[in-house]
Amino acid sequence: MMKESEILKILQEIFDDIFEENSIKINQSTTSESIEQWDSLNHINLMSAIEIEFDFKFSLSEFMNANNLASIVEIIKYKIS
Amino acid sequence: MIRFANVHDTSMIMDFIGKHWKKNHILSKDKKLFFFQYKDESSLNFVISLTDDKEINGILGFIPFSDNKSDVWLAIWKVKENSKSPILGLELFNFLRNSKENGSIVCSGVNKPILKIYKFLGMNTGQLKHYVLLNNSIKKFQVCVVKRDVRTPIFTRNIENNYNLRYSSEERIDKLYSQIIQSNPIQKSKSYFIKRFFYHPIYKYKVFEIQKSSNTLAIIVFRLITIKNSNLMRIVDYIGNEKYLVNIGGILNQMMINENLEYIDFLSYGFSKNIMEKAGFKLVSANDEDLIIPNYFNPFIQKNIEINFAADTGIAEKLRICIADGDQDRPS
Repeated sequence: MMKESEILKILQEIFDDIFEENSIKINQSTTSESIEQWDSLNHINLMSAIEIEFDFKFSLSEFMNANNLASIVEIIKYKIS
Repeated sequence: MIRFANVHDTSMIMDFIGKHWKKNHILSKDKKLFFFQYKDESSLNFVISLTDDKEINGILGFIPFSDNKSDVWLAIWKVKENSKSPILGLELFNFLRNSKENGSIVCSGVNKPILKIYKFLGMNTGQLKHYVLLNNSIKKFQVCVVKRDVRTPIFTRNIENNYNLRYSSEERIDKLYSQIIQSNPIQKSKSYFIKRFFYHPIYKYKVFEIQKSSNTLAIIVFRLITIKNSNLMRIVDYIGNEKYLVNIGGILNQMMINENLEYIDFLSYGFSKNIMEKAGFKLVSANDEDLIIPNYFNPFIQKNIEINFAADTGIAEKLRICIADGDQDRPS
């Protein structure tokens, strides 16, 4: 079972790739509202990158709820468990 | 709050389009066209999202095309830049999809980056194909660019095959529309068709029937465009089996000569390349610099373009999309 810190480390790399012009230090309280560039297109890019990295598919409801780090981490933990 | 719009929201939606979609967009200024596309008795075919201050921060326009109104073209889809929610657009889409449970959602003219969203939603995506029938008698083209010999064989009208193009009318379409056999999962209703092509507030369409021995087999719709002192004709819709296009290749060729058209083009999806070529049409490649068939005329842009679509119709191989579907072939 992957540790939460390991998940966050991988997510940090994904966020660095997608929001490359801005160094954003993510943590469990990061939300889409705290990152200006987190719009609908970047949301798709984020979700696609997470799907590839962790090898699972978001359901539509998971996709809709994944607009903050806490939810994303919970979904990843559930999906890879 | 997300809800369907009504006529009282008209000004607010038109303002939103002008401010957040495109300044001076025709749908932000021309109420007649806006109502033509979106008004349905007292309702407006928009899903809108409102802030706590009752201001619009997202819109999704749609155009029903079937009798029960459960099948829709998606048209304008826009969320305010600073809406602070990356999923607001999807919430609008879901609101619409949940209200049209058994219907189809089709969108033609999707921006390339947005295709990702439709793919995620499990919809089929692709590009329309652009076919052209060039007038071999034109010496110098003004609208299109033809830098190499791509002229097609001349198909002469074969009187013996008894095929004919008959100019149609609203009354005739009203009587015969339901007799036309369609396998397209997009079944445009008669009322949609009549409104779209006989009552457009700005564009004038020419509706013809493809007939054999006076029996109507298919319906074909054209729009004549005059630009740079040149004429061209676009096939904008086709109802019925596409195989009959082969039988009217010679007639279309004669029409080009009679009306001094540079070309006839057809932007569509699903129509067999083999049939189109037998009718005399050439497929235009979007990145071909030697054969350019424009799609934008106001303002005029002499470029090949790609038109992307997304559709959640079940039978993808039978899907047919034409350029007048949805929000395409609209004045700008």
